[in-house]
Amino acid sequence: MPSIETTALTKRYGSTTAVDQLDFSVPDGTVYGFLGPNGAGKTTTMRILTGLTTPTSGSATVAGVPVTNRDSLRPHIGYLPEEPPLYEQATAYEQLEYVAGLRDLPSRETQNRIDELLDRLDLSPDDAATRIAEYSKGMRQKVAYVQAVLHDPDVAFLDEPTSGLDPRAARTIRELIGELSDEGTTVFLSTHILPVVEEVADTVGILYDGKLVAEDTPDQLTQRAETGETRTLEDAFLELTSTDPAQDDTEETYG
Amino acid sequence: MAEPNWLQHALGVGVFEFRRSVRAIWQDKARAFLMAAGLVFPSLMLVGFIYLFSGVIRDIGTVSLPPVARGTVALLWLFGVFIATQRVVSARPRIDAESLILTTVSARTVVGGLLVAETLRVLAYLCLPVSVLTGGMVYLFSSPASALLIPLAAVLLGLTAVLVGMVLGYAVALLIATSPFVARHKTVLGGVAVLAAMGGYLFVTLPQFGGVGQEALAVLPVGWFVDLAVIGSPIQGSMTRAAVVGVGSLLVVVGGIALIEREATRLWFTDPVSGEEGQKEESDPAATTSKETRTALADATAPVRIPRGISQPTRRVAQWSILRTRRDPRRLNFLLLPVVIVGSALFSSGMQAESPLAVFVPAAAVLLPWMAGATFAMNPFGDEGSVLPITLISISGLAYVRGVMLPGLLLGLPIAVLVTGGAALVGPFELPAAVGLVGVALLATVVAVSTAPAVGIWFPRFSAISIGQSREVVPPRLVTTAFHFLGVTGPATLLTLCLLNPRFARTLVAGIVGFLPAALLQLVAGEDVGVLSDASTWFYGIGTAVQSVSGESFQLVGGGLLVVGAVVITVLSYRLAVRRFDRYSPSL
Repeated sequence: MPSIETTALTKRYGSTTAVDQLDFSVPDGTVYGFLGPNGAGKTTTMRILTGLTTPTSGSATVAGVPVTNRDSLRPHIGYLPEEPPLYEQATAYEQLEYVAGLRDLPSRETQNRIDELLDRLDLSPDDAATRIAEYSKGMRQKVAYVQAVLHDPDVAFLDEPTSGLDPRAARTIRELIGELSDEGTTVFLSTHILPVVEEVADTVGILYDGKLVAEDTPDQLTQRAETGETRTLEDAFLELTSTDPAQDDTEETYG
Repeated sequence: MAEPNWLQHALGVGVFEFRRSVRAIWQDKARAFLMAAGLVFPSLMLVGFIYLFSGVIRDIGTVSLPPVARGTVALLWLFGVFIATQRVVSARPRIDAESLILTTVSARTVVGGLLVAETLRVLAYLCLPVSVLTGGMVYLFSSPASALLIPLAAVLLGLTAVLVGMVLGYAVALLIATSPFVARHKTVLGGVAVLAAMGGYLFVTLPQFGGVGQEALAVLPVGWFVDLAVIGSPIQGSMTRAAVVGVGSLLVVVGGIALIEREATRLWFTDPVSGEEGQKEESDPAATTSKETRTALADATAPVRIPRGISQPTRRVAQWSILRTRRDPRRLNFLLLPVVIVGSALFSSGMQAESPLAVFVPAAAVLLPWMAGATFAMNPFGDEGSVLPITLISISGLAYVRGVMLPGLLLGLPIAVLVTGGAALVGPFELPAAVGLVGVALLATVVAVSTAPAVGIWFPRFSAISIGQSREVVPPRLVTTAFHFLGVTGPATLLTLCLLNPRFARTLVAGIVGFLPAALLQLVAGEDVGVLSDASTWFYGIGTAVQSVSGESFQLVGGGLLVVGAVVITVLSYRLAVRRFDRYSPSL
């Protein structure tokens, strides 16, 4: 059974169509790289799939639960939005324990998991006991990541998880994403950093103007259908999301 | 459907939110001090009153609860509802870390949490005076029931007021989120609502001017909390009314939470409409596009026009200041505090004066200039926010400071001068006095407009307060606002007094610079003869010397000094602001 499944998913804001007839499915325990230029509709799609906004038409299920059933959906998902949702006046420990409490996680195990994850991300106990208002962008990102996966969700939605991180921390996050997937969590990953997607994603979907213009494995996407020669994922992305009318041809090739 | 432990989670959310509020207040020490003083001072007054009059109060014996007591409590409850509504609409229609919280717990949990947090905030304010009142009742009447029932009545009053306020607040917020018309005109509609509320307040509290008096509100069940509070004391209330508020409060809590949950769920999961939606469709798209690319800022600030002769950088800074103020009027909340405090005092004295305009016109000559200065330029660096480094390397201090001063001069100055002049001509003033008042308004506006950026740039505030979801709303520091307010309105008031009543102005100055310090020093010195006593005599001499000056001479010399001082301060402030801008290094 797919972890995420959408059928003709559409979201309109007035006369603007942000997400247009989206059909895709993500198998359990895989990493789905969700790419697209700015304004393509990635964040809107993620907000629909996390139940934060309702679709105008079509349907979607996450972990077998319709996204419109928010109360049943919540225990299954973890969400790291592009802007880390943190409280400036709290410390990392306070914030994470607070969120764990809201999810009814057992305190001893949670404490261990928080310590382990913070340690993996090079956040010292002193850092974790400091107010978030004093954190750098990278430190905020790390705490927000821990917050999103703390409860071992069935599906983790990660929007630019490596944004603002130094190379070492970014690598750790990539490793953690791999481990999440190995442990059975489905990861829905949106990022502009294409090497990250190339490294960790099992499947890549490219969204352009609200439509899914390509979906395949990274290897297949970087392979030219006509000639068989390889190119980078960046080349493929640029071709597929070009405003050039020739894109219609590429859509047929990869769609 | 909410999760099984929603009540426990709601308590957790509420306590966490309350702790965040306390920390945020604690970070601004001046604000924390003022709030603490506002609680401690009346409580001490109450303690003193109970101590001094305990014998008299005990001797009164049994009395029945007067309707005015119920009316006063009803008024307090209505005020609480107004504040809670206003806070939801302007400050908290959406929640902090929304994407986290709404994907973690149910809307009912969040609503419950917000209710708990808001009630805790109200109780934090009520805690000290209610404790003193409770202690006083127990002490005066040996009534143990009061120890339970007064706090209970206070909690129920706070909780129901917050609940009803939240119901109304979320209804209004939902209207703003779903109706383009309301979204477009929310500032005007909000102003009308606030004026209506103030009108209602005055209608109730000023029976001598055609109002109904507070006792008229005694019929409202929300005033009957006092009947619950006085049970067990010699003050005889109505048991029936006490029972009604007890049961009614429970119903309000249950019904209110259900209602807020529905409203808030719709609000948080609805895509809000934009106030500009309808307007865009009405205009010609082709014309708009070609025009916007060249004059977008000028179009957005219309009908206000910055003269073309002014340099482009200064013009752009001025346009952006106007646009920022227009698009985000919530940043002007800080203006309300002094306006409400001074305005209500002025209103009372104006209504009791022979001609209200005799009070209102001089007040306009003093207060409107301050507002002209404070509205656009009290925290220029904080307003720039993350853009500040770019601004610092893009424009000279001279052009920038002129730019932030310009809106106050272009908009504030004409308003201050015209309102003061027009009202003075209608009011009980001779032509020379009216002209003088216009002169005061003119000079005070120039001073206010030039000192606001200087004070704001030297003492910027960068940390945002939670007004809605916007992290761009950075009001000036409370201390800066108070300093600027007193610095502008103090001398302007003195100049106005020099103009209208020089003898009173002379006595006031003699008292402030001479007699008052002399009296204080003499009080400290007591019978001792020494330095303090000598200083007291010296100050007394100054007071006597000032008092011996004739009214006409004082008007000429005092007024002249104030005018010269205003010019000097204006030039110095302007130069200080420019220098500070040019040398400012933003922290990382």
